Amino acid sequence: MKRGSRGNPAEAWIQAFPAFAATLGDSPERQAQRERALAAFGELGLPSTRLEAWRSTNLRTLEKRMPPAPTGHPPEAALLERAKTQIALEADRVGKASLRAVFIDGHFCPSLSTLPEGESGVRLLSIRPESATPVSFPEGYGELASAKLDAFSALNEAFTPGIEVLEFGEGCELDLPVHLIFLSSGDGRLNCPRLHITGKKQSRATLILDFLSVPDGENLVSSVTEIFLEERARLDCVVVERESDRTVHIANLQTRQGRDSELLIHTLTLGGALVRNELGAELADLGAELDLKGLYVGLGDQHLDNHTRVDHATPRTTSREIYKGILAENARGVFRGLIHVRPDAQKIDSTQSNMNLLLSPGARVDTRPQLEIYADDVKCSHGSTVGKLDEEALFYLRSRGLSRTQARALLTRGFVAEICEGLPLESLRSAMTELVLEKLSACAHPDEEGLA
Amino acid sequence: MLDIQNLHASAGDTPIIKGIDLHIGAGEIHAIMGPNGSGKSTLSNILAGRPGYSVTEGEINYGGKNLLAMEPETRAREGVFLAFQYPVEIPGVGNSYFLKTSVNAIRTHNGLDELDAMDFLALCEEKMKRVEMPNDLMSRSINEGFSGGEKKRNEVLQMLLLEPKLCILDETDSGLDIDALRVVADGVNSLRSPERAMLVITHYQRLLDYIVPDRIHVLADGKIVRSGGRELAGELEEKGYGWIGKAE
Repeated sequence: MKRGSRGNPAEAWIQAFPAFAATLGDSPERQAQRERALAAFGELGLPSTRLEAWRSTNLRTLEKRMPPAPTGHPPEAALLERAKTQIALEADRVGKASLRAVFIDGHFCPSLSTLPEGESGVRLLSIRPESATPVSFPEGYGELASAKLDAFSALNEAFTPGIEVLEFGEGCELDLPVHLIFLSSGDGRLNCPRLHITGKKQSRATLILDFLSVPDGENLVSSVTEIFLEERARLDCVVVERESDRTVHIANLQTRQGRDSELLIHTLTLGGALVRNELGAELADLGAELDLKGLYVGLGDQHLDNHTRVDHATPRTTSREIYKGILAENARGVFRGLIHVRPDAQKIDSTQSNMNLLLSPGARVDTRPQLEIYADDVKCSHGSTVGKLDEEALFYLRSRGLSRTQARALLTRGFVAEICEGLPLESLRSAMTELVLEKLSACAHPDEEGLA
Repeated sequence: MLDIQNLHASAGDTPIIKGIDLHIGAGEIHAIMGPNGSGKSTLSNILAGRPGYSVTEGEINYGGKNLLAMEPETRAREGVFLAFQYPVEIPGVGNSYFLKTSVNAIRTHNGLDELDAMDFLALCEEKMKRVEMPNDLMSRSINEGFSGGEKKRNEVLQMLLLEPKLCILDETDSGLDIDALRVVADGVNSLRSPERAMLVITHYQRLLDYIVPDRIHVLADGKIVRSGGRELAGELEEKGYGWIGKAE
């Protein structure tokens, strides 16, 4: 409590917890779990820039104006009604889905969701007080996102309204994607969605996690997602972050892969005032393959931070990682990618690259690829670049009649193609390319001013 | 069509062009020959509007307009086309998407309707045959992984599609084998017309066996030191560029 007496900015959350817990009406067991997490959070506190992992991302602005704790009440009918149009638009963007579920401030919203009827191989269960049947905690829950070690995981565990459990059944092959939409209501509060995903043996699926907010909404989102893939399971997962420019999102995504499993994660960060993606991937058994692709596009004063940690825990595992960033105006990007190869993990094949495009003099990026290799028979490579649009290419396009704006857009399209073209659905490929270009079309190009 | 008067220009702070006068009328093909470093490519770059050069003296009149006041894209839309010596590779942008954008930018400028995908494809197929370009080069990224010959064919394809009024070929023959040279030259020759002017820049006389010019100018140290008919090419071939310097 020393922290508190010195004015721990998170003290208000700790004070507000009992009222929140009372509103939820959890089982004593669950309540005890939340309290332990809250105590851990009290000890850990908000990470400061003195911590190596948070050196480039300063949460002080957050501390100055701490968002209040969540109320625990489900979204009101009026809010559900207002969200309808926005949800419909996002549903259209993706197209048909085998399951589409909407969560507002972490609360599952049945009226906005479409769950599959009958046996489809995919199940969405919620561990919530209002659940009809009491559910036991899913296997592995909290093992990857530790409420003991990580402040935001602890915060999430204390304040999430429910644990959403998504399971792809053994051998299931879904033709259509699963689309989960996490909408922040803009009530100015802390919002802690929690997701637990299991891909059972030999399951194959495509999953889209859409993080959105109501227009101009203000929230602090602390999301936690754990993904477990069993033997020969394959999951192609797309994370899209397009929250308002008043939203702070700390996204913790942790994965563990079994033998010969295949995991693809595309992380597209377009919105948010400050976004921190903490992605940890453990290749826990032979033959596991991981493919990480990321794209972050920052304008204005956006601060977009991607921290990835790939842990080659066993031999014969493969990882490919490519992150690209476009930063303009005064936006700042951070990329830190760690590849860790354990001492007995031989025959590892791992590549990592981070490329950045700075479109304005005020934009900046800090990129730090990092290798920690304790085995000797491994193939690892990494690299990063920071540059501007190629002047030679711009001139080439303009000499063919394209305006400067068209030429820039074309080169930008080329830069993001590697990421956008790798998305699993045609609808997403075109939608995301357009969203990126649309976003960048609003950016000011100071170098164009004062031209004859 | 093109009237260059007393042109002086620098690349950075280094003077390269030191007083060029050149007049090219509609329907004419002029060749500029000269040793490396004589300013041939600088001249073509200045005509196309490449950044990095400054004109310190003189003027360039194109079709009655001040060419130097125009942005590169305006020059292109007004009919100036530079076939690059080193066409740029642009990963991630489809060649066909680029060509369609280009054709439509120029059509729009000339008050024509944009071509839709189908019309463009039909137009493209016809022109591609002329430069013997394989279909897959259209679906690939702009010039990415193209051989030297394929890049030059792509340049000529663009020329055929855009139908410029003034074609500038900057060492289009460099790096081409004899078959590719013939294909490229055939493409260029098919554009010969009374309304169109061409400026062919080359180090070797070989290209001029295929694209026969009306006039040849020899450039040395930023100045035209000799002008003549097509027979001048033979003379240069025989004696090299050395004698020109001596004649000065």
